[in-house]
Amino acid sequence: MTSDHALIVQGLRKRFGEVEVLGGVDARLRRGKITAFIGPNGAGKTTLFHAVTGELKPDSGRVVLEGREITRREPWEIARLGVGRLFQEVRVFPGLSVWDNVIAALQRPSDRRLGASLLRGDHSLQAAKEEASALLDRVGVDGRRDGPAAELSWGNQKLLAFARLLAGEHRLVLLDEPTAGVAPALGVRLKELIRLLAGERGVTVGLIEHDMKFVADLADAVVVLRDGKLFDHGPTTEVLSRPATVELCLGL
Amino acid sequence: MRSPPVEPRRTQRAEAPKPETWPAWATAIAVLAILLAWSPTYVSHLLVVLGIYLLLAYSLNLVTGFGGLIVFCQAIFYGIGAYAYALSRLRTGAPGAQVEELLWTGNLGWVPGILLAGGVSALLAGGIGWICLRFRGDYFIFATLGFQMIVFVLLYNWLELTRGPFGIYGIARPSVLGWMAHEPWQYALLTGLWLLALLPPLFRLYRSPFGLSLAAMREDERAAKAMGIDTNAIAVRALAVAGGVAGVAGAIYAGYVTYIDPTSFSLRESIFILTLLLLGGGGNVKGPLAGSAVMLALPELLRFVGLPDAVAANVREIFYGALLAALMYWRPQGLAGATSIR
Repeated sequence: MTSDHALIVQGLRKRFGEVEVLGGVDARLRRGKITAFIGPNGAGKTTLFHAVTGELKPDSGRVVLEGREITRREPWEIARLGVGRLFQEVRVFPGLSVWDNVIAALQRPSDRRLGASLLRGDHSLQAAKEEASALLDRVGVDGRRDGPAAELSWGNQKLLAFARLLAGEHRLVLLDEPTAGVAPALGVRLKELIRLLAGERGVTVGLIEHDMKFVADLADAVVVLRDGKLFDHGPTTEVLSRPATVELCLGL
Repeated sequence: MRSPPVEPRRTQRAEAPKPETWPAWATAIAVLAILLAWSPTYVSHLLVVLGIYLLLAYSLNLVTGFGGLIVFCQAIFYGIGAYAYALSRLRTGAPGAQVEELLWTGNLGWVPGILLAGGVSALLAGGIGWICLRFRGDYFIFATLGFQMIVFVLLYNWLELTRGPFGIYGIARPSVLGWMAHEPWQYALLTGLWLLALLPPLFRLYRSPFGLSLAAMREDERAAKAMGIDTNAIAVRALAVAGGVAGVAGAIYAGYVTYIDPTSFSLRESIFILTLLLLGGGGNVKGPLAGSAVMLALPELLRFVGLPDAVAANVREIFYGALLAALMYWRPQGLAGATSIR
């Protein structure tokens, strides 16, 4: 296929009772680029991400990943097609060790099969441990690695979630508010990690963000949503210089 | 393009040297030898019972300890295994009258009979799991409770297949190459062989990517799915494995007592098996062992306290209840578990 878009969303609609959360949203994410989704609270940004990753089934519309329609597929199927997800609430596996959090992400579906697991047991876990170690060093997770992930600080849990993302083989990652609740220094590191994903690995990145400076620094393109509809979109510098968008997103 | 800071932040300490385990093993074997010399029949009997409950607790551990799914129908998988084994071997040795009146009886050998029991229970557990997993959380638990009731009522009322409350008697004891296991110590030995055959692969599964995926599902199902883990599929497989092992436990039970009726496989039994896990703890190998050992040793020890027969059973129940409540308060992960079950 010749399209240079990794993800195409067409006319996505989702209604919860009386409220139309998505009112026919169109969006395109260019391959290997970083696209920011901005807009006031309740604009439908997270719902849009849920509809792409399969957590919510849209009422109508299409989601096309690399030319393949993935609308209304199961979340685990969509994940296997190469869509990674950073949840707003991070969602590390709290009771599993920091190691196991990353090792679980390193496993491929063929490793997880019952037969393969019976034959090989923990061998593939041992092999994965070095890889996990390298990833944890790379993102810079501080803290005990053989202890439960719940014991990590919030910032380190975010970094652990990034290590899990780096462990997967993704075409597209969707990050829901990566900088929410983190210290400025960590924000800088997260920015570098997102650049690493998009630049070095060529992964297409979509991210929801409220910090406009972060968006201006990082994003190649911006999609602005309001009340479940597309409000504006285009290259970052253009969109962020339009007064209407600035007014909407800074809540003036 | 800059890359993130790569300075290693190693905080893990040098691995602690593993404590030597052989003194513990040597002590356990020595104690066992002394006990066997003291009363071979009684101790062998306890070992058979312990073996059966270890199979039940370890199999449930895969689903409940690792997968975090609370199952209230493990006794059904156990019971179906017992009935499958009993019926499949009934023509070898049982009195003819009941063979005539039953819908199906077989003439299988000992090992094929046990394998059939495991297979039938695995299929049943997989099927029940597939249905129950349409529900999540508390509803899943209630669905398994429902199947406990349904299958129990079938066992109790389908006279043509199970003789219902009359039970099946005269179940053939195993014979291996012409060697009949009449004595309890012989049966304990054969039970031990089944444990040796089944537990190592089960423990391997605990430590495999499959086990890790189950644990990920237990910890956060949405995050597990977002990682590409088909949580329903692995849960059904885990239930089938657990059902299969429980079925073998049922077959060992039926071959040991040579008489079965449905009351051995009631809700009470399911709760007892779950209690082994709650008490000992799940998600590892130590927990179910601790739970089974304590739950089976306690009544035996209480026997020596010399309570009058009339109150002994009630005192035991009160003791269990108090113990469980205290444990849930102070040690929700059980005596030796890796994770708290709820």
